[in-house]
Amino acid sequence: MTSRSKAFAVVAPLVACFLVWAALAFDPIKAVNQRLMALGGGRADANVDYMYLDPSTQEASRSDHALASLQRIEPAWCGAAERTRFMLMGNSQTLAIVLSPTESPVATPEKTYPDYLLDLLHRSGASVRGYRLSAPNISYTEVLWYLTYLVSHPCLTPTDLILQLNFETFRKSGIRNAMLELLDDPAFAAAAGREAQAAGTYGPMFRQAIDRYRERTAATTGEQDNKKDNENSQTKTAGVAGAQGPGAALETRVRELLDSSVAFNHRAKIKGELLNSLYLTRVYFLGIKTSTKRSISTAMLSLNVSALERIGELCRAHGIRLTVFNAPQNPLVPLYQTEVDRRTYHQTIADIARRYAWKSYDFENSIDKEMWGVWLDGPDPIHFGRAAHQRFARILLDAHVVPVSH
Amino acid sequence: MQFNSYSYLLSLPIVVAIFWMLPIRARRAYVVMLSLAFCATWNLVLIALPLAIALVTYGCATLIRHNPSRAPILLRIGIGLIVTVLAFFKYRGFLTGASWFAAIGLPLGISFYSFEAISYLIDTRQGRTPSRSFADLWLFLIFWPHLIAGPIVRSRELLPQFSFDKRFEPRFAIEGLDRLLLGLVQKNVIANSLAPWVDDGFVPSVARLNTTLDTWCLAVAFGLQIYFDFAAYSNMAIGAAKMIGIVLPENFNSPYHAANPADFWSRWHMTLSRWIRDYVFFPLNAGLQTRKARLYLSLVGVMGVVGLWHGAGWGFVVWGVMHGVYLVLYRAIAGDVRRDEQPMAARMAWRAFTLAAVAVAWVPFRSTSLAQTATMLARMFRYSPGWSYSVNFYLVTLLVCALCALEPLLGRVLNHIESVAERSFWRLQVNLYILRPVVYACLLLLFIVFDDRDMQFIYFQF
Repeated sequence: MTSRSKAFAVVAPLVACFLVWAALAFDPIKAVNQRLMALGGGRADANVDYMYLDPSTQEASRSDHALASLQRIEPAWCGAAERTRFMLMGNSQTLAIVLSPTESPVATPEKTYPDYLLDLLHRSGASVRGYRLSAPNISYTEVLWYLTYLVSHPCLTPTDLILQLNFETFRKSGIRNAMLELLDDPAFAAAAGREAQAAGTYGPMFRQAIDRYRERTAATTGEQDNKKDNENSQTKTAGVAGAQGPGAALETRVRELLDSSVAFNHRAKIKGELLNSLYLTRVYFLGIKTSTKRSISTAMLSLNVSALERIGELCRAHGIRLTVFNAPQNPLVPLYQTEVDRRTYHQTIADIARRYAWKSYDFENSIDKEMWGVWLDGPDPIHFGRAAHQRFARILLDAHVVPVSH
Repeated sequence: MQFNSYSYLLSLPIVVAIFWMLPIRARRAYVVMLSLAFCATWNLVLIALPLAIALVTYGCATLIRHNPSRAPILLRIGIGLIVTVLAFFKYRGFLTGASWFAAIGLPLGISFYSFEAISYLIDTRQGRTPSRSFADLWLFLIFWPHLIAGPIVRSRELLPQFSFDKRFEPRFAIEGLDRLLLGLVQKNVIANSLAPWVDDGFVPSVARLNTTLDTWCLAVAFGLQIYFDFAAYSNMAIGAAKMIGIVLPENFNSPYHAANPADFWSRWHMTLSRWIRDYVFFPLNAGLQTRKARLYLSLVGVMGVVGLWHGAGWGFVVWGVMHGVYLVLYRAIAGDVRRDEQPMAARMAWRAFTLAAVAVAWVPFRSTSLAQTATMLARMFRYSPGWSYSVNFYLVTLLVCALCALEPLLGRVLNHIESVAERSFWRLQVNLYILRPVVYACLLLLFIVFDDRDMQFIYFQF
């Protein structure tokens, strides 16, 4: 090592920081992904980016800022004169469009079936107010999380809850970090705390989420985390260990400053691109696609059934009519690994619906195979195209999934 | 202030630059001030408690030096006081079950600096403490890189370096940055990516429904998560110290490449292992090499104490005892035969056994109760078909396993690149001004995009 290399101590970090800034600003990973897509012969533009957004009828942040979204509609819902006020909850099928091979991208924002359904209902003169409260890869524990928020706010408590049931959703678990911010609301925090004490399988998931929120609050505000009672933590060492002190306030300020930089704000997008690269690698090199057949394990089934049962109980207790429908599936790529999986799934939802006297519909085969989306890795098992969204809205209307009065 | 926080990372280059610009005589006071400031960013208790322990330790050490004839009893008193403070904060709920006790909280880093204070006392008794100054002792305990989660340093390793009389060398910056950035990626990208699955999978009501494959994968995933989490912290601590010319001992050496259970403990949390070996195991077993039963018993007991060091939970004790049993098994079966003298099949079998046994032992460590441990262990060994989680969980776990498997090879490749670069001036320039900045940028970018403020280091709770 020569004395000239002493300059390294200054130059290398500066060059590295410049390169990071350049990467954040120019997103080179996107270019890599496009190459990967081209490699697989996929159609990148099939996944529609330009979606119709209406904060009064949709939770448009896709769960990233659900609290702000719900707080925004609450005053309007308080004074709402409509007799039917429904919430429609489900996974990304309710909020995304993957174009079918015969469809092309358009320059106008695209609507999904909940939007079309609301349009149709309004056009028919129905006295109805609706809201799509969905999130990609939503789990039924998260649906319960949302519902707990709704019933802890009388204005937001709907007359009807329309719940999309989906084989894939029965494989999901947990409550994502983005949804923890609902705990900022005291009424919800109290209600969620009560749910966390429940004996049902979903209870520990609520407890874990509440603990994560408390840790985050301690990290952000410097307040001591002395309430932690995490069933999933062996040590239960609360107090000073969880405190972050004045350093937390400093960190918050530094992050606010960094967030004011446009390049720094691209980091979530770049993370998305990076994860997309991994996804494409998985698809192309391991052949594991979204359409790969799968089973529901006992653990996930039990967890989701427990959450669904609680959803039913909450609806009953608050006078909410619950309607469930088995979501459409692409007939070209059924996800059931075996016939037993299909039967178990259908039997499970039929049993719960019967036990709680829910209105239930089966729309599994309601969308023709040519109307489904085709993306990078072939036919999409969950997402369909523009025409299918329009058709499915009509199907929901004709089936009177939303009970309305004129 | 966490090591992987922006406030820490942005202030580190500034404080390091100021350190090297200061005259040598001012550096120690500066490092004391930095360490106090670091403590204060967390909590004022973090200053008060190490100060109290330093005062007790200093008082006992001074008395030991001045009264050699009473040294044994003074040593016991000193250790007793420190252990009492540690037990009060750490094991109060475990010992008494009183809830008001439990509400007091665990001061960060107490397990680490308490052990360092004990080692200082024992070293003083043995006449191996290089400094008698209170200021040195205090700085030894609160030196910011190792304060919260180690490595557990000995006084004779650190105190001689507190003269801070080194001249700046570029390797301090290079090695420091290498370790810091490596740690950031280990924590933010690898450990944090596994955490959500592990957290969900170990929820008791879910854990009892997991399949055999799920449970094995969860145990392996947790083993990887805790390794990368703790190794990340150690790397960042070693890196930060290195930047100001201080060498901290290594804490990990590819532990999942261990050839047998004894080898595992020479690679995992190495500073705790050697502390236990030197200050507990050797004194307990001095002259007992021929009395195998007692040796084995003390091995299991000592490992139980290692487990208990992690916290007030029976799961930790079970984890420690399991490792103790593994060590006894290895010692009883392999005897005194050296590893390279064992047949190839035996060596392979021990390697496989160690990996599986270590994974199994993570179950009680991570479980919330012994009942959950029993359920999960039963599930591991009584076949239940299927898999419950997203395929990404199994793939990510496999990917991290592969990374772990390649770890020593990657290290060798990087060392080779370094040695090639050293051979000519131009290669060195390319290495320093092109290759390294690009690698640093990639690591930094990964850290930034995977940043999650909510994720704390696992070992902070110990």
